[in-house]
Amino acid sequence: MSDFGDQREGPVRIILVGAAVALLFGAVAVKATLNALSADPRRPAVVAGETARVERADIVDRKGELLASSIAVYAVYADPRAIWDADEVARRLALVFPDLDMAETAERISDKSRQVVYIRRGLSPRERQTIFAMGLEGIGFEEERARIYPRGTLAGHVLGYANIDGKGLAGIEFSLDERLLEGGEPVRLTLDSAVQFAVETELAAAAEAYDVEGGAGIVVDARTGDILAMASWPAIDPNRVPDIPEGDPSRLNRATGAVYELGSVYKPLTIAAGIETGELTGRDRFDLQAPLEVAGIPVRDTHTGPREASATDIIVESSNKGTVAVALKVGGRRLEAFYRKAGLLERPDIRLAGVQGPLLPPRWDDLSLSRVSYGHGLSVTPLAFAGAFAAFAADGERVSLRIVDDGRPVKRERVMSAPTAAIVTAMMRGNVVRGTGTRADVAGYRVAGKTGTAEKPVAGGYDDEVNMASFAALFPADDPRFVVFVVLDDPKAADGRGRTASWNAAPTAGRIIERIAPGLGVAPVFDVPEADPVAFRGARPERESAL
Amino acid sequence: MTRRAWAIGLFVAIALIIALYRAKYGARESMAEKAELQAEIAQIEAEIRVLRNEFAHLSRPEWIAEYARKELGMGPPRSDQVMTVDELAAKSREVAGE
Repeated sequence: MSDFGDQREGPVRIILVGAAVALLFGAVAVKATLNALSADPRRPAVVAGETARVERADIVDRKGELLASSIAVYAVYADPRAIWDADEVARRLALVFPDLDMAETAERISDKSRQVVYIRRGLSPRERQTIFAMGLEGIGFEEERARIYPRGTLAGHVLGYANIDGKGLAGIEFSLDERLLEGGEPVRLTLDSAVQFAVETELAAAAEAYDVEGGAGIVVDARTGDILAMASWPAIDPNRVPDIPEGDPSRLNRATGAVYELGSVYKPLTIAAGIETGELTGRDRFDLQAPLEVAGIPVRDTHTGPREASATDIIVESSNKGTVAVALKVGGRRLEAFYRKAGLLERPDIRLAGVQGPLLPPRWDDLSLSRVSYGHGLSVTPLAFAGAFAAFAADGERVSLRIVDDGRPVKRERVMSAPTAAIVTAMMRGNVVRGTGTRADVAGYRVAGKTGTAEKPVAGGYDDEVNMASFAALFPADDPRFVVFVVLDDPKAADGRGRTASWNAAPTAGRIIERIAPGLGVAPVFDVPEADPVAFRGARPERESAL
Repeated sequence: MTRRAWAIGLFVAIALIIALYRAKYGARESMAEKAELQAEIAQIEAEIRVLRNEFAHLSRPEWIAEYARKELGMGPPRSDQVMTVDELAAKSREVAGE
């Protein structure tokens, strides 16, 4: 080969090699760029040691106080093959778990044929750390998730519970299971923990004082529909549900899961229907001493009323006769329509599992009409009744109840005119001042309300020895906003005390109001003149009734 | 000339290889550091969750009510024991005037 040929080949080789190297690095650069531009942001570039877990969302009250949460708990187990002195291990574990059966544990963890022997589950991080620090041979830990309710029985029936797999089985845990599984922001309820505690405490006190079979208490902000408290007695601790046998009385939420005939608490609604339809005016008078029969069945009052009873007297005296007389004038069709607008004839639409619908009369003939007018023959949940009654505190509008603060718009339906609501509220104030509800009165808080004492239905009729006692209250009467409804199942009489609602449900409601009013921004006002409730002529004399 | 070009080319190639190596393992170290921080964050979040639950448990109303009753002699106020700020100011003036 000539020198001239070698001199030409050298630069060519340099160019070729340089081009090859450049091509190689160029390919790497292009590939890296393509990877960076096309990478799926959802797929991590580096696989972490463990997939991120989505925590079940917390549940909080309206003020953000924690009611339900999920935490890591641990199960401690032993590997018998790695244990030399089982007795010593059991003895050391008993220092952390005083209730541990040392002999039985030592025997179990001595079984070399087994690889894993669970000793205890549900350990807190602190307990785990304590055992870990002991440095025991053959002991290991497994992380689990647990749903806990740090406030015990508070709002237990509303919260419900979730099983060991984190699936909701009752209450809010069930009805909002999908939302809770998404994690993220906590689910906020409309409950106020302070109000809830007051209701639960007074309900428990009433249960003991009056030896009841069960009870329910509800507090509603009538203007917003927010359920501030919903309590059922006996209470339930969601942390202990697995230990509570099926059929135990505490599992029933008596505020929503059972229906009752509630008795005379319906009378204000019937009177309101009378005023609203124009069938009842302030001038009307009723002879409560005259006998009254409907379909051949006498209507009786528990005590003799006046011969010239006004609508107010009917409420104050809690007269069945007067109420039936008004109902007969209103008629079955219009009273049914009124009750329907009040929400009594359908299941309350709230985001809570297990809410029962009403038991309705088969037909609205005169006999059913007469009985329904004073709260028999129609069974509803305490929640449904509280929602209907709240119309008196919302200028005659029924605001749809809600227990979850989810920002959804509330529905409003006019049940009666604002004047009708104000007139009947004044009548109920009269009932508290001088009628059957005097024991519900609290100085300064202007309580209005109505008692209800209904014999409990049994096969073939009613048991006149067993009552459902209730009191429906709203306050403050001059500008009502809050509704308190208490129901007691079978309160007992005692020396100097009867078993009607005026002796038990009424004072219980009064004690609740006295406890919760300051926190709800209701200041006591004394020396307020009582308005004369008789001085009304008719709520809507100028136009036809909407019914 | 040829030898120098080869030397430069070799130097560049080695430099590029070293740079690529550092980039790759540097990225791996960063990812590991990120995973470690994420694990630490998760651990701290878990501890915060436990503390929140402990706080909720310790501040439960029945415990506070019992403590207030036993240790402080306090209970739910009656209606005549409730006063607004304005009423308090008026009451204070009244008492001072006495």
